[in-house]
Amino acid sequence: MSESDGERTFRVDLLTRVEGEGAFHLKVADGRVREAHLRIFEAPRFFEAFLRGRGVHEVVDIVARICGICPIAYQMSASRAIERAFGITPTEPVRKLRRLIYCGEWIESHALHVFMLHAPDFLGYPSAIEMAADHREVVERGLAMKKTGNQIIELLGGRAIHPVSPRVGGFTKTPSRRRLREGLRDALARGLDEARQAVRWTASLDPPPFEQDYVFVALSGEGGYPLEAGEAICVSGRPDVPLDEWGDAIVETHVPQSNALHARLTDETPYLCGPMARLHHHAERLHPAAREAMDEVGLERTVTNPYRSIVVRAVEIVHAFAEALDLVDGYEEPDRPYEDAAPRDAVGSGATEAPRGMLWHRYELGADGLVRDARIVPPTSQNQARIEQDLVSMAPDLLALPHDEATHRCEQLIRAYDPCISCATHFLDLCIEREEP
Amino acid sequence: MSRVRVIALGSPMGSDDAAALRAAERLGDRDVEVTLAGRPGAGLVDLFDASVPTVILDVVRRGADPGAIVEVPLRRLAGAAVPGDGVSSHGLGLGDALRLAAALGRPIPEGVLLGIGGASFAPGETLSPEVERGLDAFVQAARDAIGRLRDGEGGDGCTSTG
Repeated sequence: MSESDGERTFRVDLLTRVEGEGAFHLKVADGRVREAHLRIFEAPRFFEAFLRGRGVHEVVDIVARICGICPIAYQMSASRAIERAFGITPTEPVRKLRRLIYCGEWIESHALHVFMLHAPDFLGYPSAIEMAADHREVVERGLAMKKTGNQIIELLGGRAIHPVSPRVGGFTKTPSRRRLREGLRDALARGLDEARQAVRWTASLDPPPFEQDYVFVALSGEGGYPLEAGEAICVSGRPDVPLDEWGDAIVETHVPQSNALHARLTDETPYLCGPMARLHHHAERLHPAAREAMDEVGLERTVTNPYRSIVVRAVEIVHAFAEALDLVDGYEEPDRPYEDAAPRDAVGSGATEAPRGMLWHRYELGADGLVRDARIVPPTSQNQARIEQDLVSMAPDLLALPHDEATHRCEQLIRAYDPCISCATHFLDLCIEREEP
Repeated sequence: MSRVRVIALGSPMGSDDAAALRAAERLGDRDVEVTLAGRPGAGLVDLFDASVPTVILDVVRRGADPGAIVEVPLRRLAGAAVPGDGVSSHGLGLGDALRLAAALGRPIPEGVLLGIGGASFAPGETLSPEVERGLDAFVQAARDAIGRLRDGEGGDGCTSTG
């Protein structure tokens, strides 16, 4: 902290317990915020550039490498975009298998965040390792749920990290009914019980008071709680936006302090995507087991305190376990593991709900089967402007706190969003227009 | 003769960070269970089985010259692991995973960490010349460690080739 002439600066040079490399800088003078910057300085990773010129069927494998925590989200959004471009409609059994593997990803990602990354903030530990010594049962419960999520991904995806079997149109191979039941059913039933306990436990944690007025943005979903597909985007207080009109509703801009682009609505309103947005728009579509868990702890569908997102994630873990259990019990092996179509000149966009929020892809494809252009908008980049807005809103309260506590409060707020900075780093194309003399 | 588990860490798209994965792919053997774990983060603790001797292959950023090989017994590493910087949820490294396992009261398996010094971790699928040259020796070191563990020789010393 620096403090002079009524000016205070809160700065964390390296954010911990978030994925990737970031920092924040909040400058307050005379009770007013002068600067609030979430800086993302992790180097851009150029995945969109890597994709240009690659074969269309390589895309799903390449984008899986963007994130070790949410590879399924990248694979599913890419698949949906390419399928929509080529007019491929996955069969219903394939759609259900996609929801199952996606449930696995939500479970492992949410369990990691709730128990290993976010909970230590509430209990006053620097990390889950120190927390484990005093709260062994809680950490073991989180690790057990995470392991079951990974088992789902491994069984359907071929391996738990960077899975290989998802492909455009479906899967390279699908499991037998017996293998699915024997491999997952018992673990899912145990996990559902553990997830219910997790909702009760997270609801017992004491969040700092901080209510905000959010514009929530989530995928419309197709029939169920939004997950593996959707044809429109729901925006608080506004008409739904068809998926192909994404660019008319949301703009990305480059800001000096960040290697991740900032996304806002076209009227420059920052918005929130992720678990709180999904719950706000689609609470009635939660699995009955998840709604029951919500009701038991008195959680409303509209949560406006970001620190309470830990409870929302726990509710979504219940949903994912309960839906996964239903999908395993009702599983019928598909006649064909995937649908295919001949390449052609086409443009397609697709979006799914990654654990951290909506993930949108757009591809321009050629009849030669190669990618002409690719664009990927991850949830952390969409939430970045909203995080900065929250830091601004929090500033008056911070001034009354000792510096260490104020800094911790900021860090805890940013972590509540579960930002995945590695996913979010990419650059805009640079276009220089020169006027003719 | 004991079954031995090999856990390889790293990224195939991080230049030298792929070296342990490349080495593990060359260890086909019916009595060796090879897991290409990538960057498993907290999931690494679930890959430990106290009853199965384990060789962990990884790439070392500091403490070894590029292409040089270091060997540290896992149990010694668990006792001496320095807390990581906690920067990344994915990046809960080997030292932190061992600390977490210890905090949870989970026994650490017998075995060793074998690391090869890396020179470049930039995005890419090509190993640096130093690591490429050291890869054969890295694979041989892994085979030697597997052989010792299979014969019930855990070994308790640290070694380094540079």
